[in-house]
Amino acid sequence: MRSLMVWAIFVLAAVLVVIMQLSRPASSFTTDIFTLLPAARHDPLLAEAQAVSRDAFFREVLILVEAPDRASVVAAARQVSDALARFDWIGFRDSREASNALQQSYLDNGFALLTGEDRDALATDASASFRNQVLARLARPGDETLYSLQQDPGGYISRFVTSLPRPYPAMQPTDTGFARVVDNRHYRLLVARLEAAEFDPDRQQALAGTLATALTDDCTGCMLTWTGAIRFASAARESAERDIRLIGGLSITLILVLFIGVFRQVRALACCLLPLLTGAVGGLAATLLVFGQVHVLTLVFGTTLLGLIIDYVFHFLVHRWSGGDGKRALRQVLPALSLGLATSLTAFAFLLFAGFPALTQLAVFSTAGLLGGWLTVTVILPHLPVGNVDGAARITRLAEHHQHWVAWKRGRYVLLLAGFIAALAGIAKLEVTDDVRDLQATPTRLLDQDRAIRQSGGRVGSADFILITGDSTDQRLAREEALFASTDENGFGLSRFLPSAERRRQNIDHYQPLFQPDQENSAIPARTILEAAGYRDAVISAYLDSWQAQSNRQASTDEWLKSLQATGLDHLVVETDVGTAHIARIDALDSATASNLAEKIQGARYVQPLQHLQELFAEIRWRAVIAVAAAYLLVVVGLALRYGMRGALMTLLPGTLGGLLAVGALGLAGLPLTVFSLMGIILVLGIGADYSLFLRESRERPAETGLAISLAAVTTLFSFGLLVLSSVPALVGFGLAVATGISGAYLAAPLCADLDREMAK
Amino acid sequence: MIESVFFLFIAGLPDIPRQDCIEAEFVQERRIEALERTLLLKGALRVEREGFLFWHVREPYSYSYRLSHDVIEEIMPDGSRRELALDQAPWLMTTSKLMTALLAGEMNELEEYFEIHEIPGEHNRKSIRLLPHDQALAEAVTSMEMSWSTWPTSLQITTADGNSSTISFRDVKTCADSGDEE
Repeated sequence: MRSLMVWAIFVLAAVLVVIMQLSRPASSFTTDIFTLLPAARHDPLLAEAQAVSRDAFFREVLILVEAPDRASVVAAARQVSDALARFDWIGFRDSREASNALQQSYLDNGFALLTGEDRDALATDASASFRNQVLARLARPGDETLYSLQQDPGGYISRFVTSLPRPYPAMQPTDTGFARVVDNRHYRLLVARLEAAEFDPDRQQALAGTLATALTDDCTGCMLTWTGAIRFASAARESAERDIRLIGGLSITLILVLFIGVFRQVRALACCLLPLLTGAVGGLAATLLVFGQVHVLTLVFGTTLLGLIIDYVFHFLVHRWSGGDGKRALRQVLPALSLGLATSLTAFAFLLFAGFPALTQLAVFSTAGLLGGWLTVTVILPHLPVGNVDGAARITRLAEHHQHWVAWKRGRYVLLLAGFIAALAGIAKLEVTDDVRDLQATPTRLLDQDRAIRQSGGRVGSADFILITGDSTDQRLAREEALFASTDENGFGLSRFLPSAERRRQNIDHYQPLFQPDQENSAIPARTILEAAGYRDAVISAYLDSWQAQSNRQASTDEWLKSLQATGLDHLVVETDVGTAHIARIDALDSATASNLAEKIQGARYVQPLQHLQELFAEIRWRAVIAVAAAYLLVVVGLALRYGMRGALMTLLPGTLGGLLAVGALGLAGLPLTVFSLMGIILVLGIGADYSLFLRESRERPAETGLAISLAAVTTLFSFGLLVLSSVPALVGFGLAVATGISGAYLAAPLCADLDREMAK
Repeated sequence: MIESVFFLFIAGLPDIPRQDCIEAEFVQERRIEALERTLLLKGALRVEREGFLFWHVREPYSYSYRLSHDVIEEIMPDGSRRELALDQAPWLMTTSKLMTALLAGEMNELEEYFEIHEIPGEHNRKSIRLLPHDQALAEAVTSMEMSWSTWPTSLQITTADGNSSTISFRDVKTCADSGDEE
């Protein structure tokens, strides 16, 4: 009764906690990888910068239309625009409106804007430089048309604007998108922007469906390709749904067949589900209570580790069925179940103190989950009405037949030996990686299309960027200017569009010898140069007055920033409660060079989001290995108190052998060892230990125990091993590790028990 | 954009055989509102099929402009040189791409920005009018008209701000005829 109360309190508390937490306004689930980092390494500014950069990428949709002639491609581009106009969550930025606003802003502050070459020329000899530019502009066969001769007689503002980095350097902006003609084919690149990063399946499908039918049959020879994060997300979702249908369906079918074939009852399946459900809810509740949120990775890994509960269920069910009495069956299996739980909790305890929130959260989830599952098996299952006389007889017969398989030692030794030889070869080839791209199954066709579309625009880009901090906007701009000045490659950043206040002042002052000549400099005044070129007096006076006005009062940096908002450059500014930073890029540089350059600039650092994630996963992997290894040592000591040192080592040997087989299988299959496959190996270690413990503690009924272990192994293979069929590389590795590891541990468990007995004799 | 028009000659307008290279003397009259008087420029030009344009002003001051595939070189009035990569001058980069396409005999690149209309003319004299259909260009250039008989005779450009430029060509010949090499 007391134990029943404990279970009831556990379940009730867990359910209440989950309900309360899920009903909060803030989401209880997070995908923010930074919450898995130790607090000391949690950088809010960096996290926000990565989020902003990621968001800009996730919201972008590139649509490339191709046609045999200009009229067709323009018509096709308009068809696409019209087709997408019915959605209010996707739109095209009016680039011309933003461009016009920017051009006006630049005209109003034109003397503050100079290219590096013009700046150097004015500084060297202002008169000669200015005269050259005024006369050249009049004599050139082709002229920049951005600003009139009255507004910009020397063409300085025009050259500054045309030197600005363009989003798609290989293409020209037109009314109907970015244009290019190659080999008599006309292209238009339309850049659409989503309202938010779209992971809504309905919107993904709506966009894909609309673009697939956007071009009418009138457009002969027209083609449309498109790309964007939304397309990859849609492909990943479709792939996951296929996996769920195939693997999930196959898994459930096989498990159902197994249960019905063995137990002839569906109630037996419910017995299996109830502890798993209790474990999952208990784990979720504990994690939410301790951390306030649960990371998706914790859910994924944690529910995986709850697969240990399957061992408890089968161990109990087989003894229950054959013994005919729940309490008696419990007495038989309780020592094994308790030891199994203790070894697993010991391993999780070490994860708890690994000093990494990712592992701590996993430990909390798994500990509470296993406890909940164990409680349900030991407290509730004995009282459930399962089993009957016929069932008992059948189980006993099955167990006796199973013993023939167990007795086939030579076969098991041969299989194990062959497996290890293969594993050694595999271990020699094993690679270790933490590439987060293994989390997705990305069709090669989509990757090729994405690359082709971006290359047609002349810009492939990467996720890496340089984060520039500073106490003020001008300080950040000045640092960014210093960064770009340190390389010959073109950089993309806010300072390219908005020079720092100091730079703007310097630029205006470079004109001073022309507009305020004095006896100290022998510069020919601008008025003289313009008169000689034939300019009207009124035009000259207006030009000089404009310089004077700008020299007297520069627009503040904040005023400039407001004028840039319509251009979409705001995604280069990251604002948090702890400070503001700018995002800059120098795409032409490799990572090492860009990183070195950033190191030399105060307040600048090179950020590689993908690399950062990989480093995080690598650290999780290493800490998990160390934690589990340390736990194993402690478990050996604990088991040695009961079985002696030899017995303790033999108990852990099947799991260890299974783990080695798993690692070898990965190497043989050409799959890398990742943090995901490592979780599978940890599962194998725990299950392997359980098999050995069950055999040791249930020696009076070895046949039933052996049958229970077989059923548990087969169910585990059906649940996790089938993941080897997944389209997601990370899950394939996980599934292969579990499949081979469980198989190895299963083959080795009775052999190790026999070996120990023989050595004891 | 203006350079690209020259290459229409090379590309082969109706009745003009395609040439690898032509040279000519020119007189350009620029009527600009900002100037007191009409600006008169005199000089010479050379256009080559491979995408080369040489524009040399002799009067009233010296100025040279050389456009090749990926670089622009200027010799300024004071004799100093200025070099510019085409990717730093997108307008001019567009022009270079137009040149290459035109010299191949394809007018696709020019049609990207202009509607080309033939203007009925006198015997032996033909004209075309180029009207920009791209709004951004139309806000700068209203129209261009080019006339020719055996050789190009004139090119008139009207800009949206009311300014205009008329270029008259004389002594037009193939580079082979001139025996001159750049």
